[in-house]
Amino acid sequence: MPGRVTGESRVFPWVLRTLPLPPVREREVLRYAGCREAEESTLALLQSCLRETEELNTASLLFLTAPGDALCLPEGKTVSLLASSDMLCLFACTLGMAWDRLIRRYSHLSPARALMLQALGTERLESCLDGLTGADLGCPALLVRRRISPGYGDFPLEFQRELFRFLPCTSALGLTLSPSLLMTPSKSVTGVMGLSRTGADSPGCSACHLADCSFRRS
Amino acid sequence: MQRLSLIQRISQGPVLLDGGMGSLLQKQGLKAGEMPETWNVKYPERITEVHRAYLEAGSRILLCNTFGAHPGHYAPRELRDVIRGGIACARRARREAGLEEDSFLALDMGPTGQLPEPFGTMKPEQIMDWYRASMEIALEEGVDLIFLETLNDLMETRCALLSARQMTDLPVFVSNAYGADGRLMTGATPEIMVDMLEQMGADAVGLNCSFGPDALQPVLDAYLSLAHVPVLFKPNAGLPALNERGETVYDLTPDLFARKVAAMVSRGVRLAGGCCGTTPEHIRALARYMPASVPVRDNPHMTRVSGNTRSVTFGAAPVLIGERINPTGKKQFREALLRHELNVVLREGIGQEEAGAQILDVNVGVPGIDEPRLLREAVEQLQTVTELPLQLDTLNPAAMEQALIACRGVPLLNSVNGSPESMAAIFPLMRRYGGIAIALTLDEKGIPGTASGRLEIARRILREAEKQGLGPHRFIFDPLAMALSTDTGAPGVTLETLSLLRRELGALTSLGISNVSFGLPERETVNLTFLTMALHSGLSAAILNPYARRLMHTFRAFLALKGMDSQCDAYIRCVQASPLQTDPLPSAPSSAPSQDPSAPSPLFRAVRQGFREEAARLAREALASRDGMSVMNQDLIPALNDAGDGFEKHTVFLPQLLMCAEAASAAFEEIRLSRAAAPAATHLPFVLATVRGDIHDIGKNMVRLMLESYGFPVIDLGRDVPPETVLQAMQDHNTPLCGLSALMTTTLPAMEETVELIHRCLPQSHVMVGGAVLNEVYARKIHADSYARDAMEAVRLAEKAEKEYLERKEGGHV
Repeated sequence: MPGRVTGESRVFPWVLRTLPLPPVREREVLRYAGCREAEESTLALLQSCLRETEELNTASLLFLTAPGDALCLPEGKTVSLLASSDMLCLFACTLGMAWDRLIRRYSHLSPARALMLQALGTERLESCLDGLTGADLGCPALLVRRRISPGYGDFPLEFQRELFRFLPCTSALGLTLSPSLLMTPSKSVTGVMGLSRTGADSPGCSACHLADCSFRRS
Repeated sequence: MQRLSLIQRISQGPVLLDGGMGSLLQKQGLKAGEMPETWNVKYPERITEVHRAYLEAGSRILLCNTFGAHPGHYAPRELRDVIRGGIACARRARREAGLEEDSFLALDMGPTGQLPEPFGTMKPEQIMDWYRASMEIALEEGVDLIFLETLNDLMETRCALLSARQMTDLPVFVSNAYGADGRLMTGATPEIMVDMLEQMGADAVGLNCSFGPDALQPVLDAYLSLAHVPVLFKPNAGLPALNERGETVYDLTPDLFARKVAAMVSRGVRLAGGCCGTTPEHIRALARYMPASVPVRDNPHMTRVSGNTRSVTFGAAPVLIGERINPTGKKQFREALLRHELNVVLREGIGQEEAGAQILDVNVGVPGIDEPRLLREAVEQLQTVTELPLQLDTLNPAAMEQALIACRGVPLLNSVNGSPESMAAIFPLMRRYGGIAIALTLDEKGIPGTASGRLEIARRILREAEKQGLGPHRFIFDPLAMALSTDTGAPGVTLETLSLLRRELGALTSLGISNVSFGLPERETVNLTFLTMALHSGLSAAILNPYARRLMHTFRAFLALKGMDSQCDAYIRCVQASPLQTDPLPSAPSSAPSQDPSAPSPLFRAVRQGFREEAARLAREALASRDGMSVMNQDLIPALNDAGDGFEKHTVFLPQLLMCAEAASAAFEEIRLSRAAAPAATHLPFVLATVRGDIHDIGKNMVRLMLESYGFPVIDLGRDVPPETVLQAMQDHNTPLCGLSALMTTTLPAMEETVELIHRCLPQSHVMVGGAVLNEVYARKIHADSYARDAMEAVRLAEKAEKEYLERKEGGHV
């Protein structure tokens, strides 16, 4: 397997936190829904989805932090983005099952609404993770610089199994991993964050050569 | 000393469980990611040592180190070794401590780590196979009880307990892990879990893990006020944190932990121990503070049913059961069932829920149908769209059992009656799967003509049930409403029976209301008068049509008049949501499409902009003066094409396209309904599936919607579909058209296999593929006939493939 924890005597404990979700970025939701301009009916749909999910306003985060040299991650271009980090943070974050129930309900009745809820859930989760600070992760002196997930670029999806071994995702967070490496609840993200003292912001979409990607941020 | 049975021992006073295992092994060098059970074979002396420390601290029930010993984690031989090894370690510790006579060994089983359908891919039977495999090994080896713990999903818990109950008469304890919201990860409440587990024969129920004692107190209190079997409690040693050396430490010292837990035990807990972060020191301290005896709680037995997350209690306000999922007298519904279109069931389910139903009756009995399979599928699918408890309505015991396997929570079984045959079929199902039965007051000789005759049958049912261990709270009696038109005395007997059942037996009652008006004009007037009379006589549940507005208003008005609706809120909401007088057609509703001079008709605009209700209404109006074909070709298809062209040119985006398709489908449905005999489909059927192993289906659902809006009859096989099923469906529906979707790289081999199978068996077929991980090149590589980038392209490609196929067929090449 690609990943392992080195240093037998060291223990990197995990922490479970409930996080409030930041305000909704409506433009981001529309972007995730594949929508550059929205007609009246689309905006009405978004507003109605926002009302329906008003009470789903927290995420659960499970993580452990370890010095950058203590974790061996599979080598590759994507992982090399974390190279100069002082600390690495393995994490799993989920919005919980309520979103899956809602999306399933509408996938039969209104695929448009299911799509909008999918997009909204994704935005909720990404906004929450984007807003994390070093202090949130127990490292107040450090800045969160990069975040990668198994399946991004050349970071192998199989690393999901390792993550599930390092973190008690199932017992603490209620996350499960299917044999084909799908996570349930579906509005969940696992991955590795790099923290360091000095911060260069993530280059984001501008670093990517897929200029015609429908999700590209302008 | 005579060995006391475990259950006797617990009834004498609280018994100490043990504490954490994993955290102790980590201190001894178990690495992160290393499976703790492997140490049963690698370092048995260390495992034995942990057990012995717990025995010496006061534990009298040892959980073997088998928490994760599932076939999903271990190969068969390895599984046998770790389970046997784990039991041997505990047994040795017990012998060494000299406590063989006064301690018990438990096979400890945690979650499989896999989630059941519909959120995961595991079928209940697979989960049960896993648990049975491990239990079989342990039972051969010899344990005193089975301890199911840290389970955080209702269905998995249900499967684990079913497996244990099938395998053994030994005590089975069930402990769930609750989240911070006081529910299981998939939403079940303590109320739902306690009801279900007790009815299914758990010998003790409780909670463990998740948090420390303080945070779990509300859930524990709920258990103590609900349960009739012993309650167990095994919290963590508080919350985990980092210390300055970077170690996980829990914030409760052994002494503090023990004092908190002991205080809770004294309120009625019969089995106590610790979970993560607890050590023999915590258990030793707990032994010191543990009360010698605890009060015996006498909780009332409630008649309550539940779904996955919601429950309904009978006996206070009358309960409303929706009757519309039933093919009787509904031609279109029946035909849809015969075509295996479960969407009609789902729509009725959601519609009734929105109209105010609290429980849904589910009946799919059509002659010539595979009822066990269809009822089970209907139950599975309904539970994905509604949280309401279900009433399983079938005369077929095999269908009832299949539905019960798939059912989450405590359902109603409709029905049992006083005949020996019926009781022999239904009572064992109630014991195995739980559930409340609707008991009809009739028997093999028919329906008694008198109230006392019906009461006598009810008494007999209760007597027989008690012999099977089923208490009176497991039954709701139906005094049977019959047609007023054939016997004017019949409703009187029904109401008299209802009163007698209440007075003599203290029984709960339920009635199907609408039978009474059969054969009379203005049936609704008769129905609502009878409903009022029955409610006034103390009816506990009414089975009726929630779309019948006057009935619903009457029901709500009754609750308000009885003081069961504070501020009359529910009544006012109900009347406002479904006013009796429908307003004249609104000239400019707030959600109406804006004026667009270039658009040819209001219907075109409504569809193009995606206003679904508006489109349906306008289609209905248009159909008054035009035929369906012209509405379809002049309004719907042009609007769809307009949006589709825009989508391809990137001026219209996905949500708009989908809303346009939804509006077109709603209008299309009106056209279908308007014609007595629907014309033959304009297109060939299209078989659609997400491939085996993949449970992402939003893209597939979009393709279905778009195809349907263009008039393709779509056979949607759902998610995680094996290759053979796709092939079978194409053969059954005699179509060459099929679409496969996959989102994950890991499921692409399954897609390739499916394409290969279809091409081999149906060489003239056209297999279209799509999904996030695919592209043109890969689609060619796996020999797919076409690759659809998006839902719109899927329609274009389907039309093309269909045309080519028909041309070949005409040319005699097929």
